[in-house]
Amino acid sequence: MGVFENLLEGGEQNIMRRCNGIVSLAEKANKAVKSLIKGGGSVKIIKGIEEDSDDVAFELTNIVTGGGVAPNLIDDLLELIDKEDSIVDSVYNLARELNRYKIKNAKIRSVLANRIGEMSDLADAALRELYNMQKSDKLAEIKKFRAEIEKLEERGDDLKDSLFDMAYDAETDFKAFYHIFEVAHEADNVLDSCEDSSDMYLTIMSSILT
Amino acid sequence: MLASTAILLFLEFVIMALVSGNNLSVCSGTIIGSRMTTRRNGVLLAVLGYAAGFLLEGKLLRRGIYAVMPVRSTELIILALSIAIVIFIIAHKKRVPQSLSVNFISILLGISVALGFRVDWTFTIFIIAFWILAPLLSVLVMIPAMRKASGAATGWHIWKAVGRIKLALFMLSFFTAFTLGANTLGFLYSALPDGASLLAIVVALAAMLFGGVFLSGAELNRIGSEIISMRYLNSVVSQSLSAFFVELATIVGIPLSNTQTFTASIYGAGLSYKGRLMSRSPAISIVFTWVLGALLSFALAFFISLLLL
Repeated sequence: MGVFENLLEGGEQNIMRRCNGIVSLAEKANKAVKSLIKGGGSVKIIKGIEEDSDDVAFELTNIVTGGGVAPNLIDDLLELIDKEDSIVDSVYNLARELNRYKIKNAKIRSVLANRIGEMSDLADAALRELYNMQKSDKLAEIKKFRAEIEKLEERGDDLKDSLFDMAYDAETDFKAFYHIFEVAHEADNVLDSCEDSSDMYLTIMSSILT
Repeated sequence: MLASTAILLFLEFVIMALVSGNNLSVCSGTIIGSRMTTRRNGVLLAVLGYAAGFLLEGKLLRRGIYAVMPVRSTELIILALSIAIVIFIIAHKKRVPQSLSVNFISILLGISVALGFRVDWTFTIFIIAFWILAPLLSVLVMIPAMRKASGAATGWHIWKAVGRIKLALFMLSFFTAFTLGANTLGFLYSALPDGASLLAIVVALAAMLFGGVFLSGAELNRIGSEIISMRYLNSVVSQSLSAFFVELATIVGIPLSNTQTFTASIYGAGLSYKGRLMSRSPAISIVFTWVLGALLSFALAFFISLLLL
């Protein structure tokens, strides 16, 4: 039976395995953002990772549309690939926003760096959960991973809200105010995209058999 | 005599080729459509299944034939096949689903009644009852079968399960073709008068190959996409049930349409979903056209027999 199973490894399973390649790139990009927050790193490195992710997503899209995948799963798989690529795009956008402007007020700058750092840690954890989720093929386990990612995303929402509160409360100029909002949104987008990807993966795995 | 036999064999070839091509989508449509295999391999699997079923169990359908048409001559069967082919082609052009088994029995019955043959009405009514009960049972059994299978599936390792289901689907595709070869193609062969047996078998096998390769159309499009989208578990359960009923019918000697039972089981799969969005109209129109097709086939055969014979 093992030989037959190998012969019949479906296109769907192959695609899912390769989607984890995009998630790994997202983890790599997120680690680079954490370096950026600490004052090191480079946006160029993250841009390179983002381009790699686009290439992988393009290749996977061609595989999905080229055949070997059950037709009723094609749209869902394409959406999953797109959502996972969006994670890397969001990380890249976050890196660009962080690099765009330096808030003059040291205290506000420090709080912003700490909160974004925390959100990046949450993104790290969410990406790890997503990676493990996509290695699993038992629905009960997948649902647990999805629930964890949802909790992490909610914590990210709380941090985002706290940044908005800080932007409104603090004595800042317009540029700083706008910068805080943009950075908070982009950091939150990373977690949102992780949650969306997990939802999509659960949808696909729930619908493969039944 | 030779000319009649030649015409008979030609018509046999035509109708068997049409049936083989038309029903291939029921047999191998799932494994081709879900891209488990290429069209070429799917066709080959189906043709092999047809041949195996036809050769091993085709003769079992004689009982059904003798019940509706106890007297068969070359001329009568030529007439019956001609009417059947004309109806089949018109229905195909108009993209109206028809059951050859139902129509052909109706045609034979129409001829028998017109010519005053002693029809075995008990068995004929049994055949009709089976045509009604088998699809109904398919629908009814599918609902709990799918719910049980879906419930069990939540605990499975999905990729392992998918691999096994795909293997099962390959085997089922062959078995579905086997049951069609035995039932529908065997039934057509059984209608032939004795004396042309070996050549008729060769012609039948050639027709299966020709029909499978050149005439396999897209009838499953209506069945698959207009009623509900097929998933692996749906496919394996509905195809199993459909093949089971056709095999049961073959053993009893009743011609039964694969398309009827398969359509019914797919409908049953759809009904088993709690949150379903299904269109009733294709199912209703399919049932309506089947019944109408049977009645028209009977009427046509009856009146043509009265006129010509």
